[in-house]
Amino acid sequence: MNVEVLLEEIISFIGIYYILTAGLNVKAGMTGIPDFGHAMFFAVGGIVVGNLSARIAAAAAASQLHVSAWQAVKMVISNNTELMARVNEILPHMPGVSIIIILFSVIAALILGGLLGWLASYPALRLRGDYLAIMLLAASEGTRIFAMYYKPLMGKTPTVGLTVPNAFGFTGNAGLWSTIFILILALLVYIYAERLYHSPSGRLFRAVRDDEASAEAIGKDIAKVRRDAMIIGSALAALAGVAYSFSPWIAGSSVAAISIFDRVLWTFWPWALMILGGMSSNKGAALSSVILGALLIGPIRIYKNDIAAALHVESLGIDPGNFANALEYILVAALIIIVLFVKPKGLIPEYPSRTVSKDEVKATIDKIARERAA
Amino acid sequence: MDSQEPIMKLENVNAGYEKLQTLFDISLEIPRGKITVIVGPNGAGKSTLLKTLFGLTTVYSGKVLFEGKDITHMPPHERAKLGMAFIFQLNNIFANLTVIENLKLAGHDLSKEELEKRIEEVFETFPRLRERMHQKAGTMSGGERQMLAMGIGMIRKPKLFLIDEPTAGLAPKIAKEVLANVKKLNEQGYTVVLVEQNVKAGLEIGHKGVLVVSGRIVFDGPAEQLLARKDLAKLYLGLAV
Amino acid sequence: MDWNLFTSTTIYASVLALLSLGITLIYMTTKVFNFAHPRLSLVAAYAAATLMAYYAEATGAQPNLTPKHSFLGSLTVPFSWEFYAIGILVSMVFGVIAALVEYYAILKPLQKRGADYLMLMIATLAYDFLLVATLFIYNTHVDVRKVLARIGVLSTKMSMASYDVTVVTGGGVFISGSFIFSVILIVLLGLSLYILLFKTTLGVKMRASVENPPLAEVLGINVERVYAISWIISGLTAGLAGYLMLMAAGAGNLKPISATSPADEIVVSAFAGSIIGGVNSVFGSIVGGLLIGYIELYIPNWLAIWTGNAELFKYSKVISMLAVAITLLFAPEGLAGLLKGERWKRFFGKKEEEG
Repeated sequence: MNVEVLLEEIISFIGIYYILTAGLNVKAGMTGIPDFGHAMFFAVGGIVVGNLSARIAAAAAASQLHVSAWQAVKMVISNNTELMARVNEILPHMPGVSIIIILFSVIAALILGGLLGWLASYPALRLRGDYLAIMLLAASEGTRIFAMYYKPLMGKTPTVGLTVPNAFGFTGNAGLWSTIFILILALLVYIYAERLYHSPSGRLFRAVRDDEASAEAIGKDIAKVRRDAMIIGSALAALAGVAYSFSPWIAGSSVAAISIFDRVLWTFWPWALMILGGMSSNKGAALSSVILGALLIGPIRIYKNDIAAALHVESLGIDPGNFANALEYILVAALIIIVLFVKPKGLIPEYPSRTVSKDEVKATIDKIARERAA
Repeated sequence: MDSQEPIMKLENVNAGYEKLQTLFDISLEIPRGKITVIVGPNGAGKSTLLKTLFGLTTVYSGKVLFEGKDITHMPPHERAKLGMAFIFQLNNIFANLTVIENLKLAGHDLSKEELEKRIEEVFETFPRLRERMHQKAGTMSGGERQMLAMGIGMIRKPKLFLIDEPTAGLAPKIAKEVLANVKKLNEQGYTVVLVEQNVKAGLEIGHKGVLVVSGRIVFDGPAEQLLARKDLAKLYLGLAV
Repeated sequence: MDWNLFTSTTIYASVLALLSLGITLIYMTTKVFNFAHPRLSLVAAYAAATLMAYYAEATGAQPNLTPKHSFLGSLTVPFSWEFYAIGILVSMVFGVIAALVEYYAILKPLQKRGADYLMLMIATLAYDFLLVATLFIYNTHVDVRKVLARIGVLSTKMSMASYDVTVVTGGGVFISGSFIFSVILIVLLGLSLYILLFKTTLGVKMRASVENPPLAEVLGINVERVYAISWIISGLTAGLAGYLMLMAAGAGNLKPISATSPADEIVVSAFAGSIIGGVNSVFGSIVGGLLIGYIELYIPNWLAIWTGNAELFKYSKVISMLAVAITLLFAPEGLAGLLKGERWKRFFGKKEEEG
């Protein structure tokens, strides 16, 4: 594997996971909504790209395929693989359409993700704690099964899914430019999350998490706060789904219900990253994504077979391929357990936020002292 | 042992919850066979004082003696073995178990005959419990629950009952009934320390009255004497000494 | 009535009931939803299958699929009874071991450090991952493959359904051993739990410790021992569920056993059973698990017949998700809360409201 591809995969992995974890952080870390159905919102991004954006691409390429735009749009579901193979040959020659598709995907994912989050906030207003966690897990599983077999959504075969439009083909180096795209998205999300954390709504999120009764007593609408957090967090998760669908990991192949709804990859992993980084800590989420992406996951995903070979596991009768797969599970599990035992507050624990800076306090005190003296 | 000897003694005790000191230089004697009533305004430390007797607080200095033995640093479950029974203000019964199951549970380490004998004693003291024997404890009224809580305590035949605000949250009529039951308990020969929010009703059934204000004892003497003091209201509010 | 649908649904429903019961017991004592629960069954199933295969190898037993005559009809017992006894025993033992390791090595130490419900839930996930990894390595191990292959079982897609005891009655009705076993198991389990909880002193202590641990401790009850017993029962039932998964692979929504299946597919159904039962009700969880099993298979079946669209079967598991949503949103106390009346409340151990 060449270095450039490796770097692209690692960086896009970091970007995708950071966005996904930042979304979870708004819900679970900051507002205390234990979302164990995060994958469902991530999947929205995959569906947007594989289904909606592909239809735009098909419509745009229709004339060159000698079919009507309407027929092409319908074929996205009925003849996905064949149609998209042709579309993806044409799309690189249509930079304008490609850019529209990328922008559309981002906006549609934010809106639809937010919408699904708004729907899912209904139980979040009525349930608390572990009940809510199970409720959201069940909702995610239900949606997964529905998406898997509902053909108009994810195509005819749940394991094959829908081929994504090659929207970065026009750049000549899809791997590089999609990685840059993901990196930019991640940076924007980072800036947004930092601002959100220190904004009045961010403080309100945390107030609701820490002491619901008091937040309510000072006249804050708890229901609205939780709803907002669900909308923002879920929209970010859907954005991560778009990033993933365009990433070098997919590299123009397909998004399938079986992979984009995977609860281990898109729910439990971000949970692990959030806990590792420190609940509600945005910097922590970023740091843990970088650590895992750069130091562990990239190399482990890519070199796990070499690791297995180096350890000579086959001499113990162990299958090297499966040992390599197991390594990834062991890594997440060990990481979570070690963090829970050794650093339960994460790498960058949340610090009590100062509403007024030290200097301001000092200035006020000085002012009062001067007035007294006068 | 001389019955005039106090069953429990506090000597210059400073205590609180972890680092928060709420009791200051407390010295107190609990007379055997009597009802000692601790009263005081909210947050004065009366419940803390009771919990200190049972080892549920941190004692920084001073001594806690039970029948002359130093128990200052003894954990609660060992004090229970010495013969102290603490009745919590809330959650002092098993709501999902029947009355008889509650009582049997309290005497789970007794022989069958002994347990039956003691349950009979409880039923004689509180006949209402016999009527409700197979009813789930959670379905009983507040007054009956306190009755059962005392019954659970009686099964273990403690030398000392520590009862924390048993009338909290109860209607006045039922509160009166609960205090009458505390008196009944005492008439069975049990020594009682009672923390009570209703000063008058509490002191009326007590022998000894203790008034705690701001973590200090401001009165310690016969209950009727405290009750009769014209400046009780002032004392209570910490305005006079 | 479709007899095959009924028997396979019953087996599936019993598996869910066993798992729901364990999830409920753990929730009642340790206050955590144990995500790793169905995985304990897989561990037990692998242990059982391996030892059953070793037994067959050591005794030189070959599967004998010729039916014998019996008073029930023609009876097929492919291996000796010891073969099955070993499977049941080993699955119970390994279910318990896997459960106790989870409790004593991970959850209890975390609780002592003051972990909240989220941390505990995440910890059960982590344990689940560890078990998956272990099974990944185990089920592709050369020796495991070999010994299982000798009795014709594929280690990464494990099923012993062909070695299940079967009876074909004179009337031509087919009855599998797993069906009989699961019916007897659920009845016995319900009865023995009823006797344990309501007729013995230990049961009273257990209920007391669950309801009010501080008071129980003040009365000198060993609350810790009660919790350990709950975990042992949970492990035991998870193990038995694993044995059923092995012997009745293919029944209902039970896929053949691998490191991930069928645990990943049924984990939410098992939670559904526990939640519909009322989360804090032992008997509610058994009834809830059974109920989920039946509706998950019967409702799509009826719908498919009614609409003539067999595709609907694929959505069967959506039903249990819907059941969870409806229960949590509209009747959070589950079945135990819906059934009013003193006798039912007592039976289901409904939580009384304070005050």
